Amino acid sequence: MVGRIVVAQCRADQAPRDGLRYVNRPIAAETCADADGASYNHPMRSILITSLCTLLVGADWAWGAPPADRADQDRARQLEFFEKKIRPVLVKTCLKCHSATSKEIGGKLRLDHRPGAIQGGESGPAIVPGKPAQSLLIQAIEYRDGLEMPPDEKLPAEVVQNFKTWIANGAVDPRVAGNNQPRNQQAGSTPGRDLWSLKPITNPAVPEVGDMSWARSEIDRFLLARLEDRGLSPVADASPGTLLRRLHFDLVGLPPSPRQVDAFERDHGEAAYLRVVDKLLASPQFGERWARHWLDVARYAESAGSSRDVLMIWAWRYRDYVIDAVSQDVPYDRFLTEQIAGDLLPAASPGEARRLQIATGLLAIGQKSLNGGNIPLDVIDDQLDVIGKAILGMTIACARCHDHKFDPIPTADYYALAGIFRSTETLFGGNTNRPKTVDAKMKVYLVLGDASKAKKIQKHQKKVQDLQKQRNALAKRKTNLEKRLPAGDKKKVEQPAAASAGSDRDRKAPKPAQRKKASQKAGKLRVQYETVVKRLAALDKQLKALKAVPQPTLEFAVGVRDRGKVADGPIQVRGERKKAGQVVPRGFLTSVIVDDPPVVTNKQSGRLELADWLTRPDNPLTSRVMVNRTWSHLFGQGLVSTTENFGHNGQPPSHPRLLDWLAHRFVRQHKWSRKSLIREMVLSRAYRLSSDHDPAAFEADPAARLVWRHNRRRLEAEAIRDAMLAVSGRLDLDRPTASAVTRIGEGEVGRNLNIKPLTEPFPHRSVYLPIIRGILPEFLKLFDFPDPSNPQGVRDATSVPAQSLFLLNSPFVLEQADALAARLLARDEPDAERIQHAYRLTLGRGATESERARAASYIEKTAASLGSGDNMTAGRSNRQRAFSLFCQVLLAGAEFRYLD
Amino acid sequence: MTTDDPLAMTHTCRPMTRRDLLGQATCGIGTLALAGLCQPEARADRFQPPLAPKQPHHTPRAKRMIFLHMRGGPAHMETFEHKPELARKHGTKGRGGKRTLIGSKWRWQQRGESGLWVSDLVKHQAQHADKLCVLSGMHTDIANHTPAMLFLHTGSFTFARPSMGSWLLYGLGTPNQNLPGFVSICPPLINGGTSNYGTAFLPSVYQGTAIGDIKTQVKNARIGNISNPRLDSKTQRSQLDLLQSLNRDLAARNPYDTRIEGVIESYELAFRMQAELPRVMDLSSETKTTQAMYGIGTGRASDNFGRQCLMARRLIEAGVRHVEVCDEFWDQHGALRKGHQARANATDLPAAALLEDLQQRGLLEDTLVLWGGEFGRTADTGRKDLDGRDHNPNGYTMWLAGGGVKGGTQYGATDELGYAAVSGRVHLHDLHATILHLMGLDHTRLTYRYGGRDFRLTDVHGRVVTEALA
Repeated sequence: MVGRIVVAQCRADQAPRDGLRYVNRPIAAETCADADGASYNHPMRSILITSLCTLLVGADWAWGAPPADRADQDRARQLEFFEKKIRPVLVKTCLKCHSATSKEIGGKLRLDHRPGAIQGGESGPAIVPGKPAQSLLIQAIEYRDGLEMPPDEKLPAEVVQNFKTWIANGAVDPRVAGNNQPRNQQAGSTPGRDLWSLKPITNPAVPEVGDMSWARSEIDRFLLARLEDRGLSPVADASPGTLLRRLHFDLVGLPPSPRQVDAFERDHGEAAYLRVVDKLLASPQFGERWARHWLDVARYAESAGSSRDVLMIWAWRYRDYVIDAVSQDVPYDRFLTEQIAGDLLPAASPGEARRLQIATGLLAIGQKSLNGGNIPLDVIDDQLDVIGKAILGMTIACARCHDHKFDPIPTADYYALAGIFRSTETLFGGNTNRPKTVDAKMKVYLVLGDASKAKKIQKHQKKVQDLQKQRNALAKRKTNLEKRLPAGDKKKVEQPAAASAGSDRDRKAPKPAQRKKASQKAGKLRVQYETVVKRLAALDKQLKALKAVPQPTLEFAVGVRDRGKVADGPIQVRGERKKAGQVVPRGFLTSVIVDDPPVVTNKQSGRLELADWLTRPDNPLTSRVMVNRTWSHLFGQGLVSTTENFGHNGQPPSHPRLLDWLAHRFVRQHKWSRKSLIREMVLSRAYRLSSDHDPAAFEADPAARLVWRHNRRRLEAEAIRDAMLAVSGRLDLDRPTASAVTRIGEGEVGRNLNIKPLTEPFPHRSVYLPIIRGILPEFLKLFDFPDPSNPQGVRDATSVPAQSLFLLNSPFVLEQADALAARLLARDEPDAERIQHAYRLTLGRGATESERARAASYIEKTAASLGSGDNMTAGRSNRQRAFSLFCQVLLAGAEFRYLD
Repeated sequence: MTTDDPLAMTHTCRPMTRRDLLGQATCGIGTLALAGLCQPEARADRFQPPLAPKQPHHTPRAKRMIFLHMRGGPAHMETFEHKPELARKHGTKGRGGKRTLIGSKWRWQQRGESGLWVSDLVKHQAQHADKLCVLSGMHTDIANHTPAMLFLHTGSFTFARPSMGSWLLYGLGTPNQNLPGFVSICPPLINGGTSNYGTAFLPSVYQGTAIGDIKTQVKNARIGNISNPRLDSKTQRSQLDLLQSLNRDLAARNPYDTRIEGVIESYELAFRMQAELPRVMDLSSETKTTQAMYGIGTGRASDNFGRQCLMARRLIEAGVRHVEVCDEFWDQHGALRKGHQARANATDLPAAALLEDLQQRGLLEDTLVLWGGEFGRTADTGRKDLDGRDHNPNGYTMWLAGGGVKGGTQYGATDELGYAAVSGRVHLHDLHATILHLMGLDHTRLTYRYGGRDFRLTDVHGRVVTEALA
């Protein structure tokens, strides 16, 4: 029964958590599990099932209309009445025969959108708003005057009454037809219009709290208010050393140096903390660190992946673009606009134009199935998937074959968006045939910079080609002539100075008459031949000169541009290429309401309008999603833990008001500046909590969703690797040129690819490692690098033996341990101090007495017992080797890769 | 979700049904709140090795599985599906009138008590006809090698999805914690490469471990980082002792954080794996007779595949859940006679020996063996020399043997010429569903939530082929 609703109510003995008030969702159907699957066995679980008619929401509904406008409030109430009491009945009993998708529309009456019901069918208007008595619909459901609907069984009296009430109150119904035709064919069955994340972002008041001395910022007050509601209080602040290490890894992905730790331990006042924060935010390493977060959800990689793993040798330009944009703090709305429609934006300089072209790489770097499948439609699906998950937190791609099962995304919306990308040409480097000529490259890549440059090159190339053709034809003619020419003549022509005497011809000595005829013919041939040879020489010279003319070099990138012809596209029934249905006008998600939405025109693809729609301040998703991602990276879990899914199957926010407050502030106050947003978050006291345990709080909130402590996290693969290189002293902070993939060149994994560039030592930061989908760098892969084919905003953090084997045995780790040992041994100080220094370098803290003693004894014992060594450690003393083994222990230990 | 306990989302935690809700309906915090509170961390009272054996959905008929992957697509009408009508029409025009039909190039006989028809091309496997359930109504969606291989392994060729072995590990864990749970021996570098044993969005702990690759003879294959180039075991143990003492200190400081225990555990596993995996991979402890039975021997065509099969047997015997062995390329558009014969020379004897060996050791009754390629081959050819067959996804043959499988049966058939499956049709999704079923898993309940949706190996398809079950 569609209308059955699971309702969560707050227990009387518990203060309401604002995360619960809007809970109201249909029970998940077959294939899609309940939130996180695993909810039972929790003592607090208890559910109240109510019937169709249960009203659950109180007046303090967190996501309802702001209390400003009475009319709005009234409409909201009416809408809710419709959603709760009318729509489910329509869906269940009426729409089978009275909707656009009905086999035959009964009486030509459609009840799947408001205009249909008002306009009515063969019998006239079904609904007269405000006048139930005059509405045919009521007549029919009351089984009056020969009309009997639904035909099988009369509706219960209370339901009939509900319909009367609804019509009497104006028959409020959100199901309006978009544009001129009904976009959403199955609006009546579209679920989830009441989804929290689609409601307007509010600007909630910062709550009052009991303990004003604890809170440093508004964020703190939001968090503390909830903790106080539950009778909990936050744990102690983190120690300066812990905090500094946390801040460094969070903001720049590298550990603080011992000197920085010392300084901060001496002075960790508010001003000192501010200085560190601002310094880190301004450093280039910040861009590298936070760009990687974006690259995770942008499913960045440098090859096609899937079936034929063809390299994308210019994808790295997009990577560098993201790093620079994050470093320069390009406002998030602008950042998105550049990636969706950079090519359509005005540019102040050639350099800017180039940058904007590269930005569109977002749309080209996805996984592609180059062998089988349906490339154009699959590429569009990938583009919609990344826009949906990375930017909107919506699983748009679910609606490719059918209306989204849980979120209000009808298939028509999918194809409205798809039309924008059908009108867009995606240049990702082409198919398995790799481009060799400039011409071929220009067909599959974006050419960067001045278009006239490309034209010039093309013109030149055409000239060269034409000349080459002429030359080839001539050369062929020459060969033919040679075959016909008596043997000696050729030589004569080529070496006119040489005498003809003693040639083969003379030796053969034919009869005189024959000789004369032959000689005449030969003479003619000879003349022809001489001309050809001369012309050929001239052509060769010309060709050489032409080829020597310096040509501007072209730079390529992957990305998109508008097609010459832009147009709306059809719904592909069940997603199949061959089943084109109704054409839908290009547009956006109908359930995401922005004021005065942009309109796609026939002049452009609509990407610019899409970007505009995405970045409107009142788009309820974009800012919420980004604020939540930022929170997740700093606090270890998002306010919404499903960072890519703000739909019904995602998790609702733990602190909806805080999320809204942050989103509102991100847009209005910080003007979409991510650095400002991060700054605001790390300056909160909550961010500076320790990760200490507290039994009472743990009992009440074991996952610390309420932020009573900081979450201990395992570092990401890149941070672990970069930290190893940093402490070993091997890290090269310079940005490498291009990518190892570019050095490999055009090609495909497994097909005679020169993988040598992948095996060379790589001392740069991990964000620059080559990301070939089929050959991920070992380090990244072992430590839960996300599959770059799917947008993923939260990393896994597994502990598996393969990681341990790597840390115990891999050449990379052994080399870093050697380098760290050498670094320590170069210090002129006693071993005890060296051990101390090793701890400060690797763990950001000094060694305890016991740790120092164990280390010293280990080094001594090991140095005494080590055998004669091996090839790799030849020339090193036992002491050096023992120190290296000790250093490896520090690098391999759990503490090195966990962040408190 | 950052978690050391990916099992927090296992299949055992199936989606709640209305009945679940009704059964426990009282007044209180609702489902959403509940989900919010039940972060994995909250549920992990103590560290659970992520690959520890798990309760299946129902009593399994097979506890482990070996897939003999005949890459490239062996012709069904040359191996396990007898087509006398095709032989009669040899040389005449096929459907469409352009291409020429070709009869089988090998002699056919009925074998065993069951009387299954098997060609001489696979004469060694033929001796085990009574063990085989030959699925001759197989069909798949695509005719190119790479997508077809991905489809065979992951159930999808357009999107990155977890491979079957990863699903098995995710659903069942693995008996021996000292060994990887899913091993792919000599996987191809192309045709989807690592995606064929990858996890896609499943946690990486379920990833297949590759031993060598298609270009490396398995006798030369090594596992990465399995030994320390500098230290003997004793010296490494003393280093590990120091490391573990530091880890234990950390765990003691944070008694509520089970993840540190996980790290400690994974080091001990790794250390044991260093000893155990090379031992299991080392075939020299097998008798000469066994080695010969598998066709192992310098210069023998079956040496490499024989080693793969023997290693597979050793791995599953030691407690590995799923092993795939991979052959070279059965892709004879031309030179079919020579090419298919070469592939059979390499694989037939080892495959037969594996069945024999498993039976002798009492392992066959709860080990599932699957044989086949990503599709079959055509009944006709465009070649004048009538010595080649092209790709055919519309009808082909694979066989199952071992735990829970009805031996000595042929289920399904292509039409009389072998163009397409016409009866007993088994789509790859159905095969996947059947394999999971035999291994104790319900393919509709083995789900993993990613990006707001519960994914399955069989997507929204799949029928358990009960006709193939014993």
